[in-house]
Amino acid sequence: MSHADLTFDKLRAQFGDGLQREDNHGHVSILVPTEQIVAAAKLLLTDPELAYTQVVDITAVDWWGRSPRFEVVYQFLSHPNHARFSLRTYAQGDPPTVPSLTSVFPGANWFERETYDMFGVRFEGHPDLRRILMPHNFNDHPLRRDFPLGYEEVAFSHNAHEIHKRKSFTPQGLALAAEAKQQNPDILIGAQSVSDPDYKARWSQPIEPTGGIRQHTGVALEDVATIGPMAEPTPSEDLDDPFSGTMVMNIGPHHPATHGVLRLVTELNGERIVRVMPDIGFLHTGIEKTMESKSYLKALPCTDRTGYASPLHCNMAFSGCIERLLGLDAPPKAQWARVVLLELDRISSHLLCIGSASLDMGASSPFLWAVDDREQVYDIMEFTSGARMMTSFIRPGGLAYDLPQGFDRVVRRYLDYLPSRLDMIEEVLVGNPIFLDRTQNVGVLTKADVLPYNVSGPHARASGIDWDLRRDMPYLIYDQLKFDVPVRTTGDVYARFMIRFAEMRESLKIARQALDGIPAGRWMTADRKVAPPPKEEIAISMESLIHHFKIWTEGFRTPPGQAYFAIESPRGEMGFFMTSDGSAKPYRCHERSGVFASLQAMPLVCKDGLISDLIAIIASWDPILGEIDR
Amino acid sequence: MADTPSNGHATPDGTNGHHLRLMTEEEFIKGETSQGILVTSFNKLLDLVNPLYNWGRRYSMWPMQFGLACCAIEFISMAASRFDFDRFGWGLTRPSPRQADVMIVSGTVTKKMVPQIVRLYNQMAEPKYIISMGCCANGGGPFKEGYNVVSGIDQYLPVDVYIPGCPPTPQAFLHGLMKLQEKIDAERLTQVAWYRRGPSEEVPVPILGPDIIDPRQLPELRAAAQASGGLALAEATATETVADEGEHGAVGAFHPEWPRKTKKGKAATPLSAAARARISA
Ligand code: SF4
Repeated sequence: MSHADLTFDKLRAQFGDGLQREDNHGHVSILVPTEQIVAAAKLLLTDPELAYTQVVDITAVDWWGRSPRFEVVYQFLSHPNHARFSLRTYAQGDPPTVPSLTSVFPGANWFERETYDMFGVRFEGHPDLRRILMPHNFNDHPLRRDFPLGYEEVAFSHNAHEIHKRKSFTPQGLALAAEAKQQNPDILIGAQSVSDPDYKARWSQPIEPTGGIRQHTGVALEDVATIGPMAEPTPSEDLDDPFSGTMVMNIGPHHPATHGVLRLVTELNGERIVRVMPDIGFLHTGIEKTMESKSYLKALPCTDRTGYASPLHCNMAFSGCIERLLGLDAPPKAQWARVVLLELDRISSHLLCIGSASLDMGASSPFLWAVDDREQVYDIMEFTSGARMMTSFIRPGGLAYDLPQGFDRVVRRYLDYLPSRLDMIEEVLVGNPIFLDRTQNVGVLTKADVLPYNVSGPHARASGIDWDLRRDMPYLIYDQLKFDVPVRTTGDVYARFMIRFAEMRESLKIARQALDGIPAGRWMTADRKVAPPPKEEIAISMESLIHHFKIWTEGFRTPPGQAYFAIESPRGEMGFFMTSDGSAKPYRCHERSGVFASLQAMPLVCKDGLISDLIAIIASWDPILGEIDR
Repeated sequence: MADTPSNGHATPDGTNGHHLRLMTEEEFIKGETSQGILVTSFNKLLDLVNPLYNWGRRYSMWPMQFGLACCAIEFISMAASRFDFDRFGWGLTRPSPRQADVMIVSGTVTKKMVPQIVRLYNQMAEPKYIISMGCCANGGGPFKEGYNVVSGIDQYLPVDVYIPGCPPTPQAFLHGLMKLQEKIDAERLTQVAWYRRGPSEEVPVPILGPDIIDPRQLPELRAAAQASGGLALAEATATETVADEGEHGAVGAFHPEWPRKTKKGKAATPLSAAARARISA
């Protein structure tokens, strides 16, 4: 009996036989009544046999036109049992409301805020239900299906005139958009918004008063045992005079140490940090909505541009999720080659982290060396795929093309070259007392905080959590490879850097084994519904021609269902959650990134540190804003 | 003493002891050419100065250390040792806009970020240039259709050089860099904007949303959010700050007119006059 079956039985024993179970290629989910969701989550966490220790993802699906409209989806992960489980529930009422899980899993905090921001689903009992990505005075919920994509088509010389005519939500523009909607109902424009002449005003108007939140009638939240509420740093003593107590300093979104457009509002008492509030969303491109408007293959290049320090990992998580929906496995050659590329990608990401961190702390040589070593990964990527950075090389069903001749040689040369360089970089950093002073015993994330606050990846391993998806819940062919999972216990900035060095060395080992094992054969699945047929076949086979035409115009279709697929990215668990309605476009496509989840724990770690420590802590967190804001 | 040059001792009538006879232009040119120098007019003089002036500027451009998205990663590659834009004298990236000559908009410009970018541009000192790096900054790029992306930074700021690509390779960036150098080379001292009279005009900062949070007011903000199910927070933060977003945005948390609550819960008066003076000082 699988762990999912056990979970299902236990849930059924507690909540009755009415629960509906849905299996989709290993992704098991249960529909739970709204008022029982907290109790169910609590059961998953507290039952010693089940032990679902983290809620790794929360998002919603908007079934526009159905009632109830919003389905909230939770993904749970059990570290002791190496198992995943998913709960679903419908948000009831108007405004749509579900009870919050933050009392059981504090790490649900940001996910619920995001779901609120994007869908307008209220989480009752949430300690801090504010917008997280959109500006605070934004007056809608953009991932709702009736919210327009934006309707700014890409202008080319032949259609620029027409497009500009209907831009800026002018009356003509609205009329044209309504017309376009009539002709092609698939165009993502909210009928409501388009017929609304005040559309433009919705962006700038003050918020209309909304009714109070409905009284909670289900499980009393007070009854639920908690791991501990989100730690609330003590407020400053004297609020009257800003000069006698604490002061507020704004760091970012433009600041050289925030690695992009992270904004941290810090409250300082002298040099000491009283609290830090991350403000994110400055790079929120609405990529999930964009992906939902494109066919699967066209959505793939968007994934590169979210986690741009490790684009192949995003490709892999996305492709893996689609493969799970399709119930398809990539051919062995693709799987082995993917591992080689992913590990190179991990090395390049870790090098960027360490390089830019050392620059932030004032050491420029390691930065120059690390970027130089990254260049060589880019060379390999360019040699393999034609693009340095945004390769989109891992695709649903396999790889974009076959590996080039000489791939083996160039990778091997790099694998031989890198170890001594790593030693050199490490020596320069570790041998430097300034670096040690700025990192050791600074920004300590304790082991007890890791799982509740949804931290994963190197951050968790630096704090003593021995967990790596590659080893513990293997995907691709990682179960056939021998490698160690480095773990440290101190949880400070130093440990987070040293973990990355150790991981790069393991990656070298993995890449070498995978390179040795790449079998001959196809690099793309033979399934003609997914992979385009080779060109020579098109000339002689009518069927191939049809497949070719279908794939490059409409795209391939996936069977209806939901799937979640996660991999170990350089910044923790990266997963994609997808809902398919059977068409060629994802009905709902959600990216779960490790660093979005783990950034929640950063305020905790910064507390009582010095302001200069904050820089080292940000650097060790490796925040890639594309992944955080999406 | 009559025809020798003055030794600098001023005579009581204020001249240097002799009266310079005005040369004719012909005599002047004759004298100058005998020394190997020829000056015909002020403009021609400037023509001699312009190349030197431009040469100095185009090889000491200091870019702002500023990254928005994926393109910033390629910008890093370009700044590091292999492509090394320090060869062009561009290597000194400055974290502060006050010291920067060129702003490289490297990445997706979102509606939440564009007010900050415009504010940064306004803070830069003349002469200042903008390179728009990548499709996103050029025109919205792959997310152009998205609801939170502006269709190119050139709708807000004057762009000098556009570099296509998603992301542009470092080579492409270097090409764009050289294009900007060419542009600088073609500038003339008499025509540049920054030697004209009067202050240069600021670019208006777009107001797309208040971005001010004061953590000391978090309990109130949360209470307001709770009371109305979340959305009132925007009101709590918005009403006070939207009006002065452009000017006081970055220091809005200290804005003197903010209503403050004391710990005991009574509304506090605005800051004392002394505190206000300190703020404005
Ligand atoms: S142009 Fe492409 S690479 Fe550059 S920021 Fe935009 S999406 Fe990223």
